[in-house]
Amino acid sequence: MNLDFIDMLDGYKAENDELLQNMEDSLMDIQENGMDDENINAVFRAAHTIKGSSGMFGIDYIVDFTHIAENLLDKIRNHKIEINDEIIEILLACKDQMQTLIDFVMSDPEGTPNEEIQSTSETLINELAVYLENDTPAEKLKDNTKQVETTKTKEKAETTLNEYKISIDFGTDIFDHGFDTYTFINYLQEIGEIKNIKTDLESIPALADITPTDCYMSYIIDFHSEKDSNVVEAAFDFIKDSSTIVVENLTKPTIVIPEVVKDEKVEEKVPLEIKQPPKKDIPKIKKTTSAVKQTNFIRIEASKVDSLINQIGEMVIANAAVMQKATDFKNSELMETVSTVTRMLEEVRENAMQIRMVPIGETFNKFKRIVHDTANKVGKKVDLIINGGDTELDKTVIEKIADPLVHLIRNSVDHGIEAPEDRKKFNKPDVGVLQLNAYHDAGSIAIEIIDDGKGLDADLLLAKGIEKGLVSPDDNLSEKEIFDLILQAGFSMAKKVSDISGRGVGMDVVKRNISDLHGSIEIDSTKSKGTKITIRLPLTLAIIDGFLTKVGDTHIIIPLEMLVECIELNQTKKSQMKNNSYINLRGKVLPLLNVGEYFNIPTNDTSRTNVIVIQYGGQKMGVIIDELLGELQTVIKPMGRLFKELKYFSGSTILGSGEVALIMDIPIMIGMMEHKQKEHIA
Amino acid sequence: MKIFSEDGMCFVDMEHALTINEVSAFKKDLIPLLATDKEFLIHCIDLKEIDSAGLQILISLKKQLETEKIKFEVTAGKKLKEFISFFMLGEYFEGDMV
Repeated sequence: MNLDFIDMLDGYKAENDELLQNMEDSLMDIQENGMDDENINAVFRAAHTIKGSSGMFGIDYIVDFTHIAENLLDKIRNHKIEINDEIIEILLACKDQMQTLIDFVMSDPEGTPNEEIQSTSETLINELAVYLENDTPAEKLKDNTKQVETTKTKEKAETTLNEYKISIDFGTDIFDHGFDTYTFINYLQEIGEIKNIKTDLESIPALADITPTDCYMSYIIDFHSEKDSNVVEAAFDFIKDSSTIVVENLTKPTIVIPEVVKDEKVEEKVPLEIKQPPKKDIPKIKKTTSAVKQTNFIRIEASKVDSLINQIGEMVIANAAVMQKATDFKNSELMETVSTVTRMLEEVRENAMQIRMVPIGETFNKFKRIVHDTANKVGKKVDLIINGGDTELDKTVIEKIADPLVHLIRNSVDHGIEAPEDRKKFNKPDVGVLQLNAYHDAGSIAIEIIDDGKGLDADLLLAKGIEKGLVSPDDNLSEKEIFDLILQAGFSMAKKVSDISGRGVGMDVVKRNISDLHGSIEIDSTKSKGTKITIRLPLTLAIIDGFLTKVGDTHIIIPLEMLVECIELNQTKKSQMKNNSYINLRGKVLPLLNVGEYFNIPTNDTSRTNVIVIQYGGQKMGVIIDELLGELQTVIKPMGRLFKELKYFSGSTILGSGEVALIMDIPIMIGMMEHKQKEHIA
Repeated sequence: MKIFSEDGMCFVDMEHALTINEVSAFKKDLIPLLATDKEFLIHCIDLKEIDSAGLQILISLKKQLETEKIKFEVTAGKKLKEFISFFMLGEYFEGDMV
């Protein structure tokens, strides 16, 4: 590869990963909803851009491979070949192979792919060849892929030397993106000969008026090349959204081409956007509305955002300390100033957190392919329905939840949804339905995986649990507890082990991963009807709005999003309780937990205590505490290994006074309360 | 980058680099000197690294000095000469390069 570009590899990968994902999404759309010009053009554009940027980087093995896929896509979009499921499968495999090749570039920029990778490329090229040319031998076609280079070398006299006039008005922000005008123009020398460069000096302001980090450079280049205008344009693919590039072919297209590659050559001559006119070829990459929109986004290294959030977290703590001092000194002016800073800091924090929030739909869309591949593998038909894809969640949480979700989805397709012949017996349609839903719920996000498959058989699960010694026959388990057995290590109901699922490893890991994120998993199932798995996760793992309370000398923080209301528990109400652990809250029973008693915290025997009503997953409970201290921006600090077993608190934070406050894990508290009530009833 | 200004003459030693990393400081440091100095010599003999942003700021300075009728000279080393030659700007800098 061209080593001038080695510093830009991260950008190259990020850009191409996105394009490949777009390619996959569009192909999946075509498979679901049939041929659609917009989708096939999107797939073509993605392949074309990958080829262009790889060419600029001098990664020939990606250019050669992508070129063939691009040829097939071009024929499809021009309705010369009708797309079918088989072609979609091949194109999906090509997309995977492009990903493999790009990953290889990242691992070894100067190397050549190993035999296995090359052999996969060759196999796919052979498969593509079948569709590209009637009865064209694959090898012949493979050779033709290099026709742009080889033909021209052998038959130089017979090919056309194109004279181009290239006008480039570089976008003002290209320096910010790490690009240099020299790099692009220098690359042209690899595909042709620069005859003249005219720099537009008028567009560069004098020193007093210039913003030195903005780019004002514009050039008109006379360029000679045997390459097609598409190839010349592709040299600027990286900046086409922010810059204006006009490539004019000043020569008449002469088609004197050797017989064997004639079709292929004509294929190459078809430009991406604009047909080649006889006299002047003016494919223009315009600044479109979408392009302008794209410039509103910048790619930031995730670690930079993490570092910003960490620093803001430290500022929140430091600010709390200043506020504490101001309060101690009873300095009202200082307190007022610190309050202003606190408000501003809160806004900064919210904005910074917003940077890390990404829609879960991006992750959900990747599951289309997994559902498709898994269903094909086990001979089932499954429709995937996605709801709430725009629900936002912290990027860190999304990254950690992706693998557990893949496992659950594969399980649903492999074990949940029945084969078409079995579905018929239950009067179900041939095609099973798998739903992925996401929505916000009281400071957390709920993700549901619902299938209309055979559901879980509670009797069978219980028998298996007893057989494996996980439960005793005397245990009086509720249906929910029986379902929860599948989350235990080593528990597998699969009659046969497949490479997809069924080895009994996985569901316990899923549960552990979710617990590590301070989330919960809930299983609901009806035999022969289907299964619903609900995962609840906190929106973020960094900074939350908390409510500071005190029990004895211990500070406890309740996540504000899960707090419903605060009630004073005076002596009258206490006497009405008659030592029961619940109160009547506007006609409904509210179970109570006395935090001081439960955790053995010595408390001051005051006549006034308070109840905080909390809610999670549709369940409510009250916690009895001594003092309500008010809202607090809470920077979540992990509890550390020493407190690993302390399960009722999800983390801690440092208060302005330097004291530590514990953050209550509401889902665990509610689960514990539920269990306690059940025990009480039993 | 080192700047020496004495008796109306400004000497800027670009040392090893004139790139996007230097251009902001270049402008910031030179703007105040436009009011005092009558001759600018940009020393680029030891330049090992230059990019379009660096070339752009040189053109920008030249334009500014021409407007204010201040003398402008560049001592170009191999790297700068190659860069100027690549962009075919030899004619534009003719008379300024020593």
